[in-house]
Amino acid sequence: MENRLRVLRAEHGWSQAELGERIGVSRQAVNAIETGKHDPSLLLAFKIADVFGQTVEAVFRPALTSTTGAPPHD
Amino acid sequence: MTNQAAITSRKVRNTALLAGIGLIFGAFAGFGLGRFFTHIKAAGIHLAWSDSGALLLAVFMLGSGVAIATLGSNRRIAGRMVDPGEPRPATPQQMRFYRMQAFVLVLAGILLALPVLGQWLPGAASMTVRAGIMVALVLLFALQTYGNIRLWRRADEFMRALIAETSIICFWLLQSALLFWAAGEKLGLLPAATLWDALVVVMAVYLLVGTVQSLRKGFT
Repeated sequence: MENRLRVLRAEHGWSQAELGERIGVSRQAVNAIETGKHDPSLLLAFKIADVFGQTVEAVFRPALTSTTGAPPHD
Repeated sequence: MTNQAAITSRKVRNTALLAGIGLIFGAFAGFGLGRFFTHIKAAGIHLAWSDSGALLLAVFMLGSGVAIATLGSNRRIAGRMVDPGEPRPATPQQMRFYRMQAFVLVLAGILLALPVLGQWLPGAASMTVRAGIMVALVLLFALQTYGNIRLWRRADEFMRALIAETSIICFWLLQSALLFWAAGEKLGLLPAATLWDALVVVMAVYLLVGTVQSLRKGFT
């Protein structure tokens, strides 16, 4: 899953550890989500969106799967 | 220097510092184990490969546990373990986590070492002494299980996923190994293995897979 976590974190001037404290996970968890090594649970995705004042869809997006490179249809 | 470059530089410095400290603990543990093996050999005692393996793993876990307990006892140093790039003093919750992790590791080391070393305890030929060692193992295992449950409950979803994935990979690897070794033994192609041999292999595989998974997922 693609995400805008790093960009949003930078906009707020938070370190990974600071964001982790705000959403109740470790710094390593934040790093893993940012680098795509871990997809957050629905609950955590909502917590992340809430802390940035955004919707979940504005923060997370499924990775492109179509062979043409176009986003998947709704 | 940009902020990101400063973070990277601090991360490299702190990681090297922690690795250096770990190296010191490892050196002492390795030296001690080497002296023990030399002493055993000089006494004419032959150790089975699984006994040597168990002691090696035990020393690794004991050394790791003591290192984590020592480093985790200082809030500033523990903070470097939490975030080498932007170290802040560790929170009391993070300190408790490291203490529990150290506790579980030390107990795991003792559980592996005790059956091997127990055979050389005074009076080890007596059934009473051996039964006493078994009771001690059960109690230590109960304590370690309590520690593992506490760690699981305090872990976030990322760490739980890491533990679960490690367990799945280990189950597949070890089940496959067991199938082929058992079949080979049945067909007379491979030598028989004891349960202790199998346990040592299980522990070694679990440690190895856990380390690889942690590195892959960026946990370490």
